[in-house]
Amino acid sequence: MVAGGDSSQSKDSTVSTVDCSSIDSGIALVNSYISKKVNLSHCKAIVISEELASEGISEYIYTCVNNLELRPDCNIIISRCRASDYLENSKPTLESVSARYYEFILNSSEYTGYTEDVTLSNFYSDMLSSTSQAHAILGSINSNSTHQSHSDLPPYDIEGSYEAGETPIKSDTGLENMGIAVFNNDKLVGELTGMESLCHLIVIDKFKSATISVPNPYDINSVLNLYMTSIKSPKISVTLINGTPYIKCSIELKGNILSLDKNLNYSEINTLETIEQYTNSYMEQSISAYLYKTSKEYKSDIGNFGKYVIYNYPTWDDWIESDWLDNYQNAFFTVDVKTTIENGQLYTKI
Amino acid sequence: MNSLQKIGKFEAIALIIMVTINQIIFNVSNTIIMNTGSSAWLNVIVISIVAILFCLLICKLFKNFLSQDIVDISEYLGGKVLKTIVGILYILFFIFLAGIFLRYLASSLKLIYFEKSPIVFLLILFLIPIVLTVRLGIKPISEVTLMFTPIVLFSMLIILFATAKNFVPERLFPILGFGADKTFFIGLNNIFTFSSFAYLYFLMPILKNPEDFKKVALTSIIVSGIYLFLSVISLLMMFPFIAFSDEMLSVYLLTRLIEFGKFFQRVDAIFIFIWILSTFSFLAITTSLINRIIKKLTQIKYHNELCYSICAIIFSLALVFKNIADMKFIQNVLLRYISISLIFIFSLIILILANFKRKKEKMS
Repeated sequence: MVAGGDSSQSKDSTVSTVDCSSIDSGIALVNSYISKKVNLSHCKAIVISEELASEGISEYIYTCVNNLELRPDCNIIISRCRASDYLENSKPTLESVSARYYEFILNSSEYTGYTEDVTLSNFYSDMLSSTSQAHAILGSINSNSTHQSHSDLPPYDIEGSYEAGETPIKSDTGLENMGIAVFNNDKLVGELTGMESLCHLIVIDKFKSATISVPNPYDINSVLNLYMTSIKSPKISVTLINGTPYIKCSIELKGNILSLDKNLNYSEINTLETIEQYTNSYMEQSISAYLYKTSKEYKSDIGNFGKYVIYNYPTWDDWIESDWLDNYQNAFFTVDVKTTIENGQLYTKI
Repeated sequence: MNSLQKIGKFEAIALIIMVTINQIIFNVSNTIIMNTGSSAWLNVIVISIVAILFCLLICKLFKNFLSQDIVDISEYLGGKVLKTIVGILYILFFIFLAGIFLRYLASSLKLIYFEKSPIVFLLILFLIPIVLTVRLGIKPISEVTLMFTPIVLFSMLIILFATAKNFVPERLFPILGFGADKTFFIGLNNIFTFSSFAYLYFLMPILKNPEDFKKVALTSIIVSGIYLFLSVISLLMMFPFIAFSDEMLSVYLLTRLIEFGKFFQRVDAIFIFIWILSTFSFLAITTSLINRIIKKLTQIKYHNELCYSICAIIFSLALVFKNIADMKFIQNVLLRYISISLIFIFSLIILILANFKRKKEKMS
């Protein structure tokens, strides 16, 4: 057990760790040790280590779902480090209550798009679904030793290329939730970067807003920053061609240009159209890469594309026989992105 | 019958709807889904149509027996012997229904909120108000039920709309679920979810205006069907595993997901409170009907005092069930076939034969 005073946690919280055979027996052991009853009613997040997740976590998830105290809206975080290290390195900043800190830090996906707010209920439903696979929030400790340098990548790809813990950032927080942990059944099979998570949110229609960097069409060495929002739900169609899924995604986005450059005039239609073309092309490539990664590399339909083909099967037996989740690895994709660049911020030209 | 104990059209409708709503709360929707899979919503449409047709048939058959219930009609058809048989069968059915519902709610409450309280206390807490209300007669019970019904119906709608943002309509597919046979033929035995017909058979003598029977019956069955349909589609669209899992209270799972922004969360306790009120109404209606049937069979003068004995029997029966598995088996298997045999076959035969007899008498 790590006392609050010794750890980096706020003073009114403690981290206890216990070796046990199950969650309930572990809680019973902790109860006997701290002479108080642990109540999970205000539990905001369940942190599971990457190592354990690779072995399969259905047993733990079923236990959590069956627990009356645990709410279905608590988040599932897969930690790239040990779960206890994750908690011990948590330094709630700007919030005095740990529970509220976890609640708000996970809401950041609404304006960054770098991860998804995955709840216990979502995870459990996806894990048991026949049309999709489960995924969870990816978290890690962020420290100097975990930082990654992606200087070999083009400048517009750098920010989105990090996974949890890799972002070169100096802060008191200590934790970073970035990316998505991809599951096949109940086993962790891979991880998505921040940009791939953003693409995932766009495809599953949970994207709200994000700031992205796209290549500057007028200067190859610089980037343009866009504030992107979703215009409408993506149109997705899945066709089976000789049993192989052909998935077509039509996506519409809206962007405002955040960057300002001496050489750019946003009041010119041609300039906006060129930026739109570059943005479309960049997003199409990014989304295609994300889709092929989930399909070919991870063989896991976290985008829930199965729901677009289930119509074709009259009965449950027919559907199960088609083995969609296995067939997803054969899928091929076409992505069509249409971005509308509206304007800049206060200035259109400088 | 004392005119003060007669109930109006709306009170009667509320009374029947309350029975169905209680069945929805106690997992009948999940029973349908487990039998038919993703086609449960189609099955509910089919059984609702069958129930409406059955209702029209019942209304036609009751036309010749205004102000008489199924026990009176049995006496007309087969004398005191048949009257006693039918009366006893319905008494047993209602006691059985009340016992299992009481135990189910008490067990659920114990699990959710009163982990350390003995089940006996919870059962007694439910039965005390029942004893007090049943002594007053069916009229006050119906009036209170009429007051509760809009609240219960509204609360069910809130559950559906508050969780709708998480619905995945594609979960209503494959359209034929576990197969066409299970959806349209074998699944017809899900008609047992309309066991509120048992209460309709006893409604005629307590209606202020027996001519309203058809309106009452049709309205209540249609509303019951709509709510059954809404509960089934919301469960299907919300939980992809619902056809293969078995929950204590499926609708309670929905309430756990309700939140209005970050401020109004964990509102399930409000719904549990509303369900407790609806269970009070249901138990009071059922006990009151048992009371009335016993009065008919025995011609006892002070029948109101019988409610003590009836509640004691219901209490004992509720204690008989050892565990959830017992209750599930009885609810899903026994109750299904008992309801179908008694309500939809045996009673229908009595009504048809009684009509033949009446027709014959008229002709002769």
